[in-house]
Amino acid sequence: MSNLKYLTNGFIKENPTLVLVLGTCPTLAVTTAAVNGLGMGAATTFVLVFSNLFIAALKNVIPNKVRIAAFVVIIASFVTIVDLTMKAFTPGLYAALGVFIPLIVVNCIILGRAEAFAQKNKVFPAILDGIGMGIGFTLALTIMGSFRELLGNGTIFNYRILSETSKILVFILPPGAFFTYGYMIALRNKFLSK
Amino acid sequence: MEFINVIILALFVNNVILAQFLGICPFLGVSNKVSTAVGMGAAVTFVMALANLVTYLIYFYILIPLHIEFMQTISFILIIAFLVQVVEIILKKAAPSLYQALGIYLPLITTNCAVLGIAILAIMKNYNIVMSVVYASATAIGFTLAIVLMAGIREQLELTGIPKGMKGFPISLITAGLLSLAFMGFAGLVK
Amino acid sequence: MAKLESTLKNMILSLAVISMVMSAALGVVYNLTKGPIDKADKQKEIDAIKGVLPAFDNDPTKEMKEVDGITFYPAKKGNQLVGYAVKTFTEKGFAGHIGIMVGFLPDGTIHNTIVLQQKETPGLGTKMMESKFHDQFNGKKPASFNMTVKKDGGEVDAITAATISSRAYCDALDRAFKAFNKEFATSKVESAADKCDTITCKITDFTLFAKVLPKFDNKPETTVKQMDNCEIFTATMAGKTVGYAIKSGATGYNTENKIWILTGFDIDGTIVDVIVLSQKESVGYGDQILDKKFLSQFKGKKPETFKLDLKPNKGSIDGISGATISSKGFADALLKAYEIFKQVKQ
Repeated sequence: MSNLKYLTNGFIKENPTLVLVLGTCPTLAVTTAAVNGLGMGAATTFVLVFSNLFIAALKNVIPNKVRIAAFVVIIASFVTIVDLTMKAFTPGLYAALGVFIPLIVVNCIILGRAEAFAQKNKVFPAILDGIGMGIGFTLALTIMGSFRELLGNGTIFNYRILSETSKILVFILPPGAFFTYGYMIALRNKFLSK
Repeated sequence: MEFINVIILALFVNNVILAQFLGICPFLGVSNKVSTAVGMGAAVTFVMALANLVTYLIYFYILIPLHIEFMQTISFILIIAFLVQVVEIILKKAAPSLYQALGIYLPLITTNCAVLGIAILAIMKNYNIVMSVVYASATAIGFTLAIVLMAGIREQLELTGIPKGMKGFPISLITAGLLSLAFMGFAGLVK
Repeated sequence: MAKLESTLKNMILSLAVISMVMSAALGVVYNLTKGPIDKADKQKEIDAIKGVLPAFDNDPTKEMKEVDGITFYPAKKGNQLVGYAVKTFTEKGFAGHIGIMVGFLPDGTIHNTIVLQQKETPGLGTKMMESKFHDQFNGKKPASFNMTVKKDGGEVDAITAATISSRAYCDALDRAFKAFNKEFATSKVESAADKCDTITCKITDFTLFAKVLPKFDNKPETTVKQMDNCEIFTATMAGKTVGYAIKSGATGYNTENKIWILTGFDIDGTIVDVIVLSQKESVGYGDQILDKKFLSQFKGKKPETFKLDLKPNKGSIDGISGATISSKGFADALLKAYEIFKQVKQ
């Protein structure tokens, strides 16, 4: 695969959220507002890129039997770095994302890409893969967040678009998350299996 | 009385999957057969109760005294990975058929956001050690409840005609949404 | 380069080195972010304190005091106490923990409230953050304002379809007030009830007379007479006496501080109104003698026919349930005032 392909793979063809269906927990939980989806996507992308980088760089000095443990240590460290940085510089977003920031460490996307890609490829492609998957994830989350925010609150990124009285509350609540996610995958299925 | 509150909250009102969105991956992945679902639920319950116990001790007796609370994420996930490894070994010896049935999903309990999530939440909620273990166990039983319900429904769905685009994840997610909607009705249970 | 073999030595070495390097990196980042994190937290607190109190120029976080999970931040302008910001909480929210910052003026009036943390249902419980809901607490004195939702017999307008969240908000505010009372009611700071100093109850607020007397045009405070540990103030209109305000005190539940009241009689001996000047009774029990509900029963009553004792003692006064001794203390003070009135009228 050419380098460009590595990058764009994660956008649509192997979009982690809509195709690989990985990282479902934060997808459902934080998309109550567009800005939360964007923030989570950015944080996850950071961890994804750096962990892919480190793992691809260190893949030859990590014995096979302990690779999962080593991956976890590396991923968890970057997650903690993101956690501390957000706590210091973006407290509002930090409070909104809550427990899902440390949970980035068990976001199957990151461990999944480490296992499936980073440990089998060179550093540069691994970085591109991380960026591509991260962008795909962020895109899916932001779209889902915008949709739920628009229908459930009448706003997108806090700009009021629909009137206050036309809110459909269920979209901000848990059932709405499931419904939105399910329909997004169904739509993607329909359009890409033509 | 406090215990009853925590248990009812964890089982129904704040069901870990249907309300808190933790543990979705195995929920979508293992819920196609009731028997596997029960097995997964049992394994998760064991791991979660043990994990909350150990992480509590580590947090309060090592991390805090040494002022390295920021090592929480790393230490917790390593503990969980270790515990899952132990459970794997035990199952392989004691219940090989279950071990086979769970397959790849057993090591995946490590990445089950519910296990790490509940361990972190118990600390955030300032539970003492007994309450933390009760909280974890009740949550895990709630997890089992949701997963078994889902499996029962999916076994039935297999027999019906579903539009091509909806097959697989979409219909599972919509089903989960309906379950979640139903569980919201429990909201008034605990004052 | 081939992958390292999975020998025990390699495995342990590799893991150990990776762990150490990553932990070191983490330690560095931790130290780098510690300052900004603390600053951000402190800024959040100061912003909240600024939002709930009038202007101040000290740093309330420097003199903060924590008692039982409640934190008090005194705010001063120059050397004058402007008020106390109280960080309170409740676990009774729909989704559990709610953190609220309440600003109390020194006399116990709520200046403003701000929600610090909440995870309530969006669109329902989250409405507690809107002025429409929380402005109703501003300017209220929890000593006399029943801070429970109307559904529970109180005076608070709950959020539609979010009763549990509304109740929780009241619970947090109530907790703040009880703590505030406990901490500062015994200090030199004037609490909601104190309209005079607590030892001799020397009246300094002369607007009180207008509250308990019929219309007058003199200055009753200039007519003060002492009698039997009480003070009598005469009110006149165009030279003619229209009534007497009598300050009397009696012991209630608190044996160290009397209950001091100011009773206004017109010349027929009808009680115009009664005000509690000072009391240090139990918070939530005896201090209910401050309630309008309790005090209004005396308006327009003639002690000839309205016997100034509690109903169980064959009197006409409805005491406060759970606070009989405080009620009796109040009744005693009222009776004393009447005795004095009878003597003065001669």
